[in-house]
Amino acid sequence: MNMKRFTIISLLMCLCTNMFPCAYEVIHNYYMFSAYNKDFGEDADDPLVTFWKDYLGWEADPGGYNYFEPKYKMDEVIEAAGKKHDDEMKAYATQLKRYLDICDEMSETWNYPTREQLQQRSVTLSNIAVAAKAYKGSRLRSRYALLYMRANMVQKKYDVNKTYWTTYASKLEDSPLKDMMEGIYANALLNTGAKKAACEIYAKQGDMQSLAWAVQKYRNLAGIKYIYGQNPNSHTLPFLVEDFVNTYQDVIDSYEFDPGDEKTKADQDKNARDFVNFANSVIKEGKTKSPALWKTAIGVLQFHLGNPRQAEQTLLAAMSMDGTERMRDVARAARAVARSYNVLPNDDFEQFILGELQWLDTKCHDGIKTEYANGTVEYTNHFTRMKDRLSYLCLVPSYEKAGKTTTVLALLDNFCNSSQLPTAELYYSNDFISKLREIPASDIETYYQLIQQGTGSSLERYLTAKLHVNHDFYADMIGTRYLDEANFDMAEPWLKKVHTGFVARLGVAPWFGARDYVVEPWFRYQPCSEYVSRRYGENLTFDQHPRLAFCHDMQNLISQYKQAKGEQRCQLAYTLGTRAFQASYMGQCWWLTAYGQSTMDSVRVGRNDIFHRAFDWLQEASKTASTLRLKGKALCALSFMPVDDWVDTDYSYDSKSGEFMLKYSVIPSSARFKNIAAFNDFVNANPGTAMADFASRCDVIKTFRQQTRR
Amino acid sequence: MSMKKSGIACLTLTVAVLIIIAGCHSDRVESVHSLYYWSTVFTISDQQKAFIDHHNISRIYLRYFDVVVDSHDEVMPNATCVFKSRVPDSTEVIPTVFIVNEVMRRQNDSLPELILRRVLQMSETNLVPMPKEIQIDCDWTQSTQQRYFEFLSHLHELTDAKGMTLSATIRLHQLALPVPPVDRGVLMVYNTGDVTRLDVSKPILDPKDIAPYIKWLPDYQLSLTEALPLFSWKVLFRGGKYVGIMHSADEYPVIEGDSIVLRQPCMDDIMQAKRMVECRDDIAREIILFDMNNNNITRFTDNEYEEIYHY
Repeated sequence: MNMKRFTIISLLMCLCTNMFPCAYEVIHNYYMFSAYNKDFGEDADDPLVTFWKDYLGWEADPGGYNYFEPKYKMDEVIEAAGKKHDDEMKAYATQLKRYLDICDEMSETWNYPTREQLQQRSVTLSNIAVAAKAYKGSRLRSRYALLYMRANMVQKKYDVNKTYWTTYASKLEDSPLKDMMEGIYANALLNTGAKKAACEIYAKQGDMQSLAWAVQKYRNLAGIKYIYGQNPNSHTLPFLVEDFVNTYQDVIDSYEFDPGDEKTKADQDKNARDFVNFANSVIKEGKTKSPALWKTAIGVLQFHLGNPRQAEQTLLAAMSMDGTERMRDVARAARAVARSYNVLPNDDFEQFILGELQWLDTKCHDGIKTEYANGTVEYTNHFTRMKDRLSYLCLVPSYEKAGKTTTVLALLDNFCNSSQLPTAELYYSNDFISKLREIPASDIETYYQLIQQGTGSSLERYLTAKLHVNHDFYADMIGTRYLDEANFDMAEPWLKKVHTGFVARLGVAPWFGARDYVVEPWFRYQPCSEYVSRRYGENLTFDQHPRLAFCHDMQNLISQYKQAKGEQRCQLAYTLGTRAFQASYMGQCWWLTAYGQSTMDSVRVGRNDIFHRAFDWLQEASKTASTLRLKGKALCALSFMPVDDWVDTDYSYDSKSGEFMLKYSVIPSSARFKNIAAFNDFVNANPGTAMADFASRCDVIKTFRQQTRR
Repeated sequence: MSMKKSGIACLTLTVAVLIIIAGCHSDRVESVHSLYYWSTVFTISDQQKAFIDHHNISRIYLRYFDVVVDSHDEVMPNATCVFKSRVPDSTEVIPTVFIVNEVMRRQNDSLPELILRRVLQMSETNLVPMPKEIQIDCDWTQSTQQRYFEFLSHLHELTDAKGMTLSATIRLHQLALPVPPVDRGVLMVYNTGDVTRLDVSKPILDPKDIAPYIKWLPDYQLSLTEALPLFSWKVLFRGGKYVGIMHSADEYPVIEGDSIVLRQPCMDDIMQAKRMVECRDDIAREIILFDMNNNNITRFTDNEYEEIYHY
């Protein structure tokens, strides 16, 4: 054993980590306030896009990708119209293509147009406008009207567009195209000084991007007061109120992450309280048609101001106030979060939260729908995000505190639904899997029984009812966790159930067989990167689960160990300790008891796991060995085991040499220090032995001797 | 500060200003009368036309475009001026390009070529006679100085090859920094105070704020021209705290208790500032006013404008 070998091992461990999850951060602190639905599909809200897709007969490809950018596809439309002998459409698409090309040219680039190009652009836009206005048909009437207004807009003919909208376009049949024309009319208003009227249109249409730009300097309490003073039911107010509440949530969230300047936080808190006072006065005044909006805003701010009890009451009141249905729903979802902060899990609370989760699930379906290749469907909207926040930030900690592990697992499983993932991905960044790695194997067994038999509380049954149960996954997970607990008899029946086809698809499958667990790692390092790289490219097959083979091996050795006596028992203790260490998360064959390994892993203090079992066996061997050879090996093994830190290292500047020097500071109270000391004492007492020769080449012992002069 | 201390401070400032003015000498001659035009649309109103004619404006420093770092982290032109009017025949246009300092934090070796090519094309397209000079405006700092100077050197080579000169704006604080590699500089004698402070009543131009910089002027190794302010700001304060500059009546919400404060340089301050910087022979050979907004060219009487332009 030497320092270089330690370094190599560390480096290889780093290389090995490329298949494991690095630290990952999943956000759960979603906004609790949402006045508008902002969750639309990729281009589902763009009637121009869907119109052309239909005309061309486009269908989504199997991956769900059907992005359509009109400006790059008009040639296809013109060609398709030609093939269909659709002259009317061909003429329109040709004009539209001209318009889209000009829009492209008009973006600011380093190439400034020539005078001829500018004149040509102006002539083309005028011609487009003339052609659009000259259309007398009915099929494309709205499209030509929109094209006319667009052509005017890029020519900054705002007054022309205002007149056209009020005298003609506003009287066309309602359609998304007409909404777009009204958006262009709003643009004309904005550019001719009628900002208030323009904002009303943007807000009414849910055009948040335009609205945010138009009212960028009104996004504060003063702006809200001003707009309210002008019109207590302005369409702009919901946007401004949402912006205010969520901006304050950002302040709170970032403050929790990085406290920073307390005065700034105090100013922001005061601002939030000022809003609460103003919103209360708005409700009291009775001029608003949506008191639910203001009341919900108050409740969410109270929650962020650190008063969830008051927030719960406020939000409960908001749920029955006048306003939009969405606003009352937002209040209800926020109230569920607030209540979960106020109550520890009991039967009443569980019935309440079950009802709220069931309700949230019904609200999810108007969100963005994502269909996966395996048939899974996922929705995303404000209510799915609130369910996430409720589960992760309220219910999981709450049930963890109450010691209800199966409920915690059910909540996490409901989100992750890990059993449906491809096997190789099962063990990556996933909260459910992470939780399984933390808890005893028996708890996983209990949960597996619960989901198989449909038992458990009504909440647990609801959460797990629709889950797909992959039996190989649970058998392998439970068996492996039992191995990690050095409970081989419990592990064996579970590992026997795992199909070898499943084993071959595991993310760690290429590592199986990469190293031999009988090798004593303190004497020999086993490189494996080439083996693993090669195995990644192979179609893997297994006759037997390698973890089961290891399990059988350990069971046999333990059986012999139990009957053995004297030096034979001592030798078996050393062998068991060696193999157990190799299979532990600190060993060279970590894949036997884990699905991944990280260089950040450290000894899990206080756990009754295979690592600590290995330590016990090796300690027994060191104490009972009657031969110098076995005693030396066992002491060497114990000194190798990273039970804790025996030395602190630090690079500090040495003013004499002008270089940074590695400084050691030993920790004599550490268990490892004592083990190294014991090994050092042993080799000092037994010079001339092979172990003494090994120790003289070992960098750790050298460092120990330098630092302790022993 | 007590009245006594305040009085001493005023006296000291006055003496300093008098010393500076006394140290200057001048042979009064007619200066070149110029204006900045700083808008996104170039259109000459009747008032502006009359101002140009009446005050013999022979040069317009016309902002052609800004150079910014866009949302894709690329250096791009922005807010390009749209020409709605022809440039009056009697005036020479000096294209001016404002570069945000952030641009200078990125390596972009082709920027000089891109700017020059675009400026020349803009002039040609909009029937502006071939410019004799190009001006670069950038609020550069010590941290961007090296890259900015490299950029100017490269651009200078290019303008030189085309027989054009290159000028750059010089902010007062930049007088203490190394001299940029250009043919001449335009000293911006404005934005001297902190606009965000309610107690700073003259943020646009306060002669006492200029005084500390005057010492750098005599030895500043670059031919200089002065640019004086005509513009005003309506500044919104709420609870004594700065909210913003109101470029239009509804740009910010104005609620009960707010204060809108008008900040504008008075004639006396403009003249005092002018006298302070005219301690150099070259600086008043051309006088540029900022800028040719209708409000700015009607604030003073014709005689007062003449007084400002007079050298």
